[in-house]
Amino acid sequence: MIGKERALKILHEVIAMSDGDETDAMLTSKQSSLTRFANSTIHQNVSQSSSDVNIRVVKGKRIGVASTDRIHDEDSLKNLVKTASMIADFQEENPNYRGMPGPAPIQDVNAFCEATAAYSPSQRANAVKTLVDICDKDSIIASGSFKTEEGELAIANSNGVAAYFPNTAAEVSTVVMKGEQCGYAAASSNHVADIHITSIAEEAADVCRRNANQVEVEPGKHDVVLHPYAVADLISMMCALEFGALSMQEGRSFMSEKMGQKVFSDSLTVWDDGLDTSGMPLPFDFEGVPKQKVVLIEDGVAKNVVYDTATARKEGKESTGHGLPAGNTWGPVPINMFMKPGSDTLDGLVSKVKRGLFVTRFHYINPYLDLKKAVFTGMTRDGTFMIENGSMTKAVKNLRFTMSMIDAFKSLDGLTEETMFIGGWFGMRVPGALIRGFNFSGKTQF
Amino acid sequence: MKDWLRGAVDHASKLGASYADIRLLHLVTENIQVKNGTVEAITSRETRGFGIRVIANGSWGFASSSLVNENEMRRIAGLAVQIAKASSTLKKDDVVLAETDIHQDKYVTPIKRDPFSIPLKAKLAVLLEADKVLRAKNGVKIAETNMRFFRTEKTFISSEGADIDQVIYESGGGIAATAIDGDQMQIRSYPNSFRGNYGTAGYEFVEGLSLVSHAPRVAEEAVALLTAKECPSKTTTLVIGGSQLALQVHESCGHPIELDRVFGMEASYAGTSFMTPEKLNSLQYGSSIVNIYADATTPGGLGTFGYDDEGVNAQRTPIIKEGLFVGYLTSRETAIKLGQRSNGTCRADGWWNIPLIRMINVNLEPGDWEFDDLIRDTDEGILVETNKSWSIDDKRLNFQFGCEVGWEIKNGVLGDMVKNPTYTGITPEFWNSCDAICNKKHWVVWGTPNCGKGEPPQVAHVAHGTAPSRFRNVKVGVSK
Repeated sequence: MIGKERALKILHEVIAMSDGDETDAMLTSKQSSLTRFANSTIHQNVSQSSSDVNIRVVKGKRIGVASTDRIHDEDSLKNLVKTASMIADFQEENPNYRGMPGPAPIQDVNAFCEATAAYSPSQRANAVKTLVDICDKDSIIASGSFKTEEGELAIANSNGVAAYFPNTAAEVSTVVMKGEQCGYAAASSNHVADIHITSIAEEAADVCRRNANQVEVEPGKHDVVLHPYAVADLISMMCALEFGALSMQEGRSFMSEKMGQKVFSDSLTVWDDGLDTSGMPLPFDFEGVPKQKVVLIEDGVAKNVVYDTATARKEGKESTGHGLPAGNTWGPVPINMFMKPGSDTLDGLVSKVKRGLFVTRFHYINPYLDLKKAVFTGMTRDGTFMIENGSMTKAVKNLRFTMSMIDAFKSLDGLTEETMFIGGWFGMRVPGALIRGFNFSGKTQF
Repeated sequence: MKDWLRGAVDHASKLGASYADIRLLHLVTENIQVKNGTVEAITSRETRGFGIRVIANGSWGFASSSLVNENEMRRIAGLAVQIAKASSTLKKDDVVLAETDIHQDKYVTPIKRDPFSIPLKAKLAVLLEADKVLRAKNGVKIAETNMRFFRTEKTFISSEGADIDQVIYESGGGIAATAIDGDQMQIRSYPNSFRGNYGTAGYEFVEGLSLVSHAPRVAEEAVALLTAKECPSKTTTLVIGGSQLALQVHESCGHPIELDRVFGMEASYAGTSFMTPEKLNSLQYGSSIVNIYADATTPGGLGTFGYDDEGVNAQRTPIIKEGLFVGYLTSRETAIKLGQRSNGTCRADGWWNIPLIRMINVNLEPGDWEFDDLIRDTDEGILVETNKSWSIDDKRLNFQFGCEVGWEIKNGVLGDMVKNPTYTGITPEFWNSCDAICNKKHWVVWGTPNCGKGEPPQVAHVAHGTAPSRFRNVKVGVSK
């Protein structure tokens, strides 16, 4: 760990070297360790230690961005500033540049866990052994990974922004297999103590045991009950592409035409909240702007998108604190997502289905078929089951879906009361869901 | 510096490693993006660090750091050994490496013009001009042009005596026009979608793309797609353009022949493979005209290098011969399990990652058809070009692709343009339906700088040589 004082000192020194009208700098540092297992043995065990400084030098409206990981070397930092400054000199004016943010109070959020940071290779190996041993009792083969990580993010700019945030993360996921049968489970938290390895192993093994003698189901429209893993697979893709202000301003998002309109089922409410510690919080964005809670969809109505400084000032608004690192062309993105729960259980949702499918998770979702209609395609994976007369009856071979997510979440007909935090960049907390008439367009052989 | 590297390897050996290697890597990248007349980004990135890989107690350990000094190298060597020993508490068999020739060598990508020596102004002039031409077409709402350049210097030293220096240059770029009308959005790109085409080459590669001269057609087609008819839903003959076919090779052949994936090492992430060892030399993967080679020596291919990250020399390996499945992409650890030597495909993304089996240039060999003859010979079908979406199941069997544009083929003539073309199939059925491949004149090596694999996620630069080809009885226009 570099620490708050030293990280901000490096950034302030870098900014002081700049000849730009405005300058911002970002320092990221990470110590990440990952134990990967397959065929019930550890086959990969790695540790990464890295630190980066990213600088943006602005002259008028001309912008230069450069980065280096040689942060302990004064000459490299001088070269970094020189490179960014030289790029700015060669640049054309960017009319979309609307200045850097000023300082604002940042809420204190604790996402650093000493136990996670100190977790050793032996502890990860022991945890994996526990998981493998549980599976082994039923001759189930386990694969997966266990990651522990500590990181730091520091942002400063020439307008007085100075923000620092340390965090940790622990993540386990496993795919377990027995012949053609398979199952999946995962968990993620800032705190390694929240990773209950025995529960994860038992959950995955249970799916695997039930996932036997898969039968073929013909593609077509089926009512589906989605485990929170599957819900997160769909929502995460929508976040990345549809809920940012730049996508909306450029007309690439379905939100461009639908703001203020009823788009989805009344049951769908999703928001971004970087301060909620039931997720993986991040109190400010990559411009150092404090994060605001932003309700994106409320009771099925398209309410808001998230903003960074440039997209907000274009509309005469304030940034909501969702900017990505300088040099990106994606625009702002929500990364701390939450979905409002309902009042059911997963079994309760299944009981509402006369004939349909239960999906544990999706695989290889691609959202680019038709961005304006949010048409996604992807496969089911690691546990798809037939529902008949309100009960899960048989395991099913995997199917391909192709469907507009607008149509899918219009047909949302139930949510679980219990939500689950699903890992990812900063992850999301979602319930399980019942969707009527989900469109499957193909099938595979296993 | 070499003394430090050797010292770290020796230190790992003294701590109990039966094998150790170190890779010191220095990567410089330049990225230029123009959107709607504005230079959206010019970024320069530099990263330098090292990774140490060891076998101790019969298990792998890997650790890396961006702090390049002698003490840190020794510390990281110790950490790698400690990690390996932790891994060994859950092992079934010791890791054994296949024999390989030990090289002391240097390799540098042959280039004509160092892309980092070309002034930014010259690069920007090309991108801004292409952008201007794209936007000159009424209906184009977003014009995007870009170039990216990479220079990777790496040194590999192993406890077996390997000592290899390499300098790899990579260059590329592309243009795209997006037309939007209400809830419709259509995009056309050149030379390929998702930022263009790339090769191991200098600035001459980008000059050869002639980005500006292709901009009028790209803009024209993007706007025309808004009023084009939808791709029909039916089973028909499909002619696939080169760049889309490259992604087809990538997803349905390149990934399933990775031997680590076959052995289950990727099971928890992107899945396994239907191309299991008992199918080697028996599976009729494709029709008799389908020949696919893994070739790290293809001139200018994005998967071209001197040595992989285990110090194994670049090779050309048959994968599919006259339709028969005959080979895998291998590493030293996996090849020995089939009684083979590695064919040199074990590569890491940066200094911070452990090497994995990655595609190199996985090329569909050219056939003997002229493109015009192939169309003339097709009574009824669809021609599709340029990838828009891609998805495949976790054993690499059921795939579905979407393309930017299609054209109907009727009675041997290209007809109306169709929008949102998609097609789907099952890998071996699909490749066995291939009955025509265009000749060398139409064969292009398509570079993909964004191939994902592994945990932690790694991005590899790979390529596929392809020429337009014809497939029978393919389901197109998959329902939404």
